[in-house]
Amino acid sequence: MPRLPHSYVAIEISRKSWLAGIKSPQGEKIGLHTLRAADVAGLQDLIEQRRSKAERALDRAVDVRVCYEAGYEGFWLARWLEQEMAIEAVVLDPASLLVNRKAKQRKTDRIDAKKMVRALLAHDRGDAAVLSRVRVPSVAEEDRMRGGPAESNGHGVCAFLFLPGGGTCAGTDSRQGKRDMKVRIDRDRCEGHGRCHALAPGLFELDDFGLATAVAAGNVPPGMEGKARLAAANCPEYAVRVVEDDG
Amino acid sequence: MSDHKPDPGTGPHAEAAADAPSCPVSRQGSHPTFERPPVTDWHTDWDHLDMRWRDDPFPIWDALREGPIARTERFEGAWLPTRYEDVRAIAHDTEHFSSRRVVLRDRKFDDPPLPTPPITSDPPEHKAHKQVLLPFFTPQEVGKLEPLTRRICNALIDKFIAAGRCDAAQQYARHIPVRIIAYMLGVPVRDSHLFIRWIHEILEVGASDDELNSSATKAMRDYFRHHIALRKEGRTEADPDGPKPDLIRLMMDGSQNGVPFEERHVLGTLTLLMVAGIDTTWSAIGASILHLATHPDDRRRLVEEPGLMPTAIEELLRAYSPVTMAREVKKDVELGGCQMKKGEMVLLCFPAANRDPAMFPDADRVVLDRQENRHGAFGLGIHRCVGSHLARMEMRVAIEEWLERIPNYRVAGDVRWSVGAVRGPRTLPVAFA
Repeated sequence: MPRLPHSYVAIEISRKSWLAGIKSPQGEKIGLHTLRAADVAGLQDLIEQRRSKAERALDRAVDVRVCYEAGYEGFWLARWLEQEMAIEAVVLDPASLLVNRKAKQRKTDRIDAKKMVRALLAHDRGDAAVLSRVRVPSVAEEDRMRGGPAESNGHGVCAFLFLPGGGTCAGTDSRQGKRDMKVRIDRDRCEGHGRCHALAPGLFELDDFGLATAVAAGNVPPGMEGKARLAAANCPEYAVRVVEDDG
Repeated sequence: MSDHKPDPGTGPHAEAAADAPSCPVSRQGSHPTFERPPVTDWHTDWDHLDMRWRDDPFPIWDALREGPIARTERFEGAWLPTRYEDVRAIAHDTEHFSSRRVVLRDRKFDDPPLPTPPITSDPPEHKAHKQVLLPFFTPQEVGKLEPLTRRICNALIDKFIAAGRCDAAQQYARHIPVRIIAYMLGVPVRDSHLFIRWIHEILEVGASDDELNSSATKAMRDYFRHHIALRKEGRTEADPDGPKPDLIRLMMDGSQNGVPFEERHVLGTLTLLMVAGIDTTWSAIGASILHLATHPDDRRRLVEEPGLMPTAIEELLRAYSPVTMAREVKKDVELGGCQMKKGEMVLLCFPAANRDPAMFPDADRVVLDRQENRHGAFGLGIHRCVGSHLARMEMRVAIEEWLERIPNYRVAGDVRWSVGAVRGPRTLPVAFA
């Protein structure tokens, strides 16, 4: 099968916001777009919009490659992209990319987003040395990395899972306590499988037809984060989303 | 419970099945289902009624997942998606794929079979056809049936435990869902053997024997007509402790946009409730008991960690999903490079999708504490099984009660699997340690 033209997307992730750099196949420019942190719906819209624009311009199908740095958002985003949008995500080992950490602290994230797009492009053209990929583990593997589900409170969509150098995971990072977690149900997708309610009965309730709603406006009480993630990871319709915001 | 008959004592498992009721599968040996031309190439000539599929479908699915969506000229032209993403995409695409035919038949007829709403309903009617049933089958409502289910399980075990062996499919698994659905429908449990026979004739043999399929369908509809007529006379043979309304009454009183359901609709749904709820759960319970017989580590773990049971049930459902469902292409469509033409059939192989390694790491291994499990054993999209919560409850209780009383057992004879749209062990001789 002939190789399809590609759009390259890099997401620069910070706690407050996501910055997406996009290079479409029909041009050389890398466009930048700011999204709210963890706004996967916004990301999906953006990618699909750009993809259809490119497909119209080229009159053929366009494939999309996405990359982001392992670290803040762990691996759930990669899984989400693969499962929800059938997009292969490259999770970068942050140590491998020639990123100036100090520059990043001075809020010059834009350098990184563009740099990552270029690295991804070069990598795709065969320059393997330009970045190193982190394999996306399964949720079970993540749990094992963290000492087993019994001791962790998360089930794979957790931030802070990746530590450069392969050390143990800081699943109970003190920063986590300062974050608010919410669960959301997409009622258009819910088909009443009831998995969320079975796994996290304190967070979800079912109506007379067995369709789920989030209780307490979706606010996840401290200590229930793991159950929230478990519910999201078991919804066959991808109707349960976990959203983490700054406190 | 008076649905036990003397065992005919035929076949290789006469001893193991000494206390089993008459076994409808004993008819299989002489049936045309077993005289099908053997499959020459699974990619271009697949047949889910083939004996190799019945006995060990997993390598077939693994091979098919590597290629384009498989095709066959059998069933007057049909496709077989085996990757999770393909199955999911088709299950969600009600614009191009209709549910009016959900069972593959060797010959299609111009008129689709009698509808059995909501499984054969398409949008927009589907929603009303399903909503009438949903409140009856929520986890909360189903939970009320748990004590009865435990009693049924224990009464069954009482009958064979002293013998030190049984056929777990024939003497245990199959009686649990049939008794519960009889109770919910509001018909006598003593008629269970009739339901089991009709379902076998419709689902298994009926896939290639149209005459038998029609006669069993007619018998079942006549049966429900009789029980509807009783209710119109103010009578019923329902269990006095049973639900009020029962499912027959619920459907008699059901309506859509203020218009009462036609008789054809009522009979169709009642037929579906009986057909869909029995073989399926029987299969899932049997396959689980078989897995735990052949995987003593998993068995011990479940005995020692009963809290793991709900997660384990989901994993067993994933690994041994019993149900495949068909769709009819409504409009020409391209999927994964395949041109699907209007009128062709698609077999949604949820069991294969649930073992897709692209979706499930270690897909071929049963991981009792699997944390991420979006299996589609109950279907995906609008046709998610109405009885899924009932099936889960029955499965969990059946396994819990079995392990409570029979924590150690092994397979002690030939296991035979069903053929057709619902796959599960139909003979499962086991001996207790």
